[in-house]
Amino acid sequence: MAVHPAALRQHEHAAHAAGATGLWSWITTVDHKRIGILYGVSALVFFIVGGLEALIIRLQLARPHAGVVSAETFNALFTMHGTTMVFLAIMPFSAAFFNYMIPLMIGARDVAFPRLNALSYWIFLLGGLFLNASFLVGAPPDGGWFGYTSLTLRQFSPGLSIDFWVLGLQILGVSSVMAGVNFITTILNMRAPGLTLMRMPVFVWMSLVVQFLIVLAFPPITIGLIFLMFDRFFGTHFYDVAAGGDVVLWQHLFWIFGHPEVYILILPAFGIVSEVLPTFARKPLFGAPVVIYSGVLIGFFGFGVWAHHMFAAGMGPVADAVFSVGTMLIAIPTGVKIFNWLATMWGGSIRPTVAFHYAAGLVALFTLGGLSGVMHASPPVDLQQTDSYFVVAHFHYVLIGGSLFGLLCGAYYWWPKMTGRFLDERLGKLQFWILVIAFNLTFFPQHYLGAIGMPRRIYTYGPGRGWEFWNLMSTVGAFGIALSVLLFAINAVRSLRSGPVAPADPWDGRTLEWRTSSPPPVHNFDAIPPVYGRDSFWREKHGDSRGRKPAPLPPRPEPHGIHLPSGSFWPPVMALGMIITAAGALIALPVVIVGALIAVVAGWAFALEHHRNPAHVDQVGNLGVDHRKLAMWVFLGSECFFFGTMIATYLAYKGRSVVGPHPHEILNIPLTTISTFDLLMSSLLMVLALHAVQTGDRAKARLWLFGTALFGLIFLGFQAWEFTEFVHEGLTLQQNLFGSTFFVLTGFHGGHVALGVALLLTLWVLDLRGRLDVRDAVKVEVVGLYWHFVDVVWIIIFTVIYLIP
Amino acid sequence: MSTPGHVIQDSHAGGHGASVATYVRVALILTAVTALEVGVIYIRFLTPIIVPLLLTMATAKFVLVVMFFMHLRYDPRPLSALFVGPLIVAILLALALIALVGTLFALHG
Repeated sequence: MAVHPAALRQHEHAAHAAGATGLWSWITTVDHKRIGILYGVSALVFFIVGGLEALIIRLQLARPHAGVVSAETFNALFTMHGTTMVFLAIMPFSAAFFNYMIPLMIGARDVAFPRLNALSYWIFLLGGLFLNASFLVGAPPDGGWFGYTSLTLRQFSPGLSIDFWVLGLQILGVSSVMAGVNFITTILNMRAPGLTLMRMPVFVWMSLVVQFLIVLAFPPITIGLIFLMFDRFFGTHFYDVAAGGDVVLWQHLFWIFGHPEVYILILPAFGIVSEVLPTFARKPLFGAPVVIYSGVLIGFFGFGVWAHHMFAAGMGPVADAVFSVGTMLIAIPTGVKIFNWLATMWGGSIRPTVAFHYAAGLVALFTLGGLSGVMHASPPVDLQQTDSYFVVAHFHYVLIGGSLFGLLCGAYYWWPKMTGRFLDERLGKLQFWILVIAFNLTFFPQHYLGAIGMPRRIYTYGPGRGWEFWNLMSTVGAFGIALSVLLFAINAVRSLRSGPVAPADPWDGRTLEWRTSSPPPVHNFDAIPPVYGRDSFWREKHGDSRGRKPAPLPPRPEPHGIHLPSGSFWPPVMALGMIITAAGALIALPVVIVGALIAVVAGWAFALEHHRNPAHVDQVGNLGVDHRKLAMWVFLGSECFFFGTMIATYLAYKGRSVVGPHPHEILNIPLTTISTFDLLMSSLLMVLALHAVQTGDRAKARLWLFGTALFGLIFLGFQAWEFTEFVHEGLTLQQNLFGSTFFVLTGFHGGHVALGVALLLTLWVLDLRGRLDVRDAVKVEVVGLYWHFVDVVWIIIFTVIYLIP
Repeated sequence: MSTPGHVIQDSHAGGHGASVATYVRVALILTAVTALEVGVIYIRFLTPIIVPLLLTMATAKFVLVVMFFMHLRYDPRPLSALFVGPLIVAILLALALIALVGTLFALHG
């Protein structure tokens, strides 16, 4: 399918345009399809690294008293295996499908923010390399993938290993949240006309749920990591029991993220299976709305069950009971999905392709993992199983039997769309069966090993415990899994070289991505596809259940032609600046400064790159609001979790300092009242500035924008003066728990104010240069939303820190 | 894609919820409530109810800023859902965290 060249408008430097090849075109690409491929290839490389780590672990455990690696190396291997597989392999594999497929499935030309999408990728890639660079300097993280304190405090883990982990995960979190905001905006605001929410493919729905989980679950672990970083780098006391801190706080913050993370890993696979089964059963998905609601419920419940990972911490009977019930409840929507998939296959005209094999495999194997998960919901049972190989077996059934099978299912299903060539079905089926056998050989015996008492994370064991045979079998199985992955790689390479050419719709698909060529053109669709209902493309081809085809809809008019975003080299530069900053934290302060400067300059260039591009002016989408405004509201939801977690920690630790000064001895309420008034009034100036920009009153716009920034600077001045006074009076970050919580909470708020001031001054300078007018009102509005949010956060901080006795 | 004229219309629809006079009134109320907040902490007989009182006033200020300055009162409902939904879950999580970490401390102490 070709589009008329005149209709294809692109910016200058459109490096990803049709025909553009070469390394530079990939580095500067902002095309969602190319970024999807980059995610997929990167994830595959990290998956192989994580897999090799797993093989060494299994070699070490194959027999008693094996000496393949030392205990220290073993610790590093299982830590990096878990971290790599979760953050660098499974998540980015899912991201590959989000990137490639979501715009195609909703009939869009790209994501809402293509350059932000590229930035997310580059931060992910460089963050992953940063994490793995720890091996090169002989300091790989070794505190387990959930990094429990006190083990990860400086006292017990000196050296750089945990520093790599703490900084690396924060970097990866930034990437994930950016991508999450981007995809929520894309899905909510860029659907083709007629594609209502309930008509969306289930994969898109599950992706939407996952993006919400990402933007809401990452802030708590980010806070936990920030506390850990401050404890390690600056000597604060968040996890210092002697100073009144609580190591279990880390467990809560980690698992508030960690349990939703399980759904972040598994829901994309559920979405893929929900697309593949109807296609190859040639039936609509049974009870599709219920499958969607179940996914939403799983996501919602996912936030209320985190502490079932902590039954052994001794939370008490009430907390145990609440989290136990919540965990059992979450099995209901999950079970609903299983039955809906079975009902979809039932009576269908099954075409047993490799993709179908993997979908069916997921239904069977994930159910096994789910059942052992329900067992952990019972605290007395969990106490027996926790930290044993039973748990290892359970989560590998979920993450391999569920996530990986789902992702392989998606790989076989969408490969022809992405490459224009078929994978070899025969080789694929061989690979599937080897994986099924090897996977079960590896992990099913681990249930038994755990049940007879083998703890997880031991680097060796003595003979005579009955563990030898099943450990050996487990190791044999692990090499079988490796063989299966190798066969997939061979299949992929053969397909790319000489695979049969795939048509646009090789599987007789049901959704919009099959309506364009394989691979799709750079602009995805020559005309935005019409949507006739759920499974729109199927209805278009075959009609509804009675065979009635819909009357063709006229193509959506695009009077200004097709706009494609141009390539940009600022995303990789900005990501590089961030990584240099992180590396500098391990090397020397000047490196931090250099990295931060690069990131800030690149960030500015990134932000202003298309400031005057008329194609970027109108970004109003399905919800009737501008993409940028929608994205800011999503981001503010994420910020609610960020500051909520920080304020909760302050309150949980209130009154627990073992030495003074205490808050009532030092806080200056009259002074802070004045700074609070100043910040509130800055919000008034902000709305006046927006009003002036919207009405084209440039003189007032300049005045109010500058006034808002000035009031922000005055607030920061008050804060700097207050901090200085406190330090003179003996309250520092390190003095006591109050000092740690106070300075970090108010300091991060001050950092947000400083960023807001920078944004305001940028707008003001643009206005002075005549580059801010009524067309830019939405930019002022978006900065204003951020500014007002910073204000409302201060309203809460002022009350809980200064006013409540 | 629309013309600049359409863009102006979109921006107005999304941003022109209140008049300048309304914004000034909201700012005055915020100032007054802040003064009240600071005042009540010095009134001894309010001590038993000071925490709920302060939280109520802070909530009122929060709502005023979000509804008027951030225009949530005038914007499409989905935006409210995108903010209020996470806000409620964040508050519930914060309360749970305070309770759980506090309980643990009590048990240890």
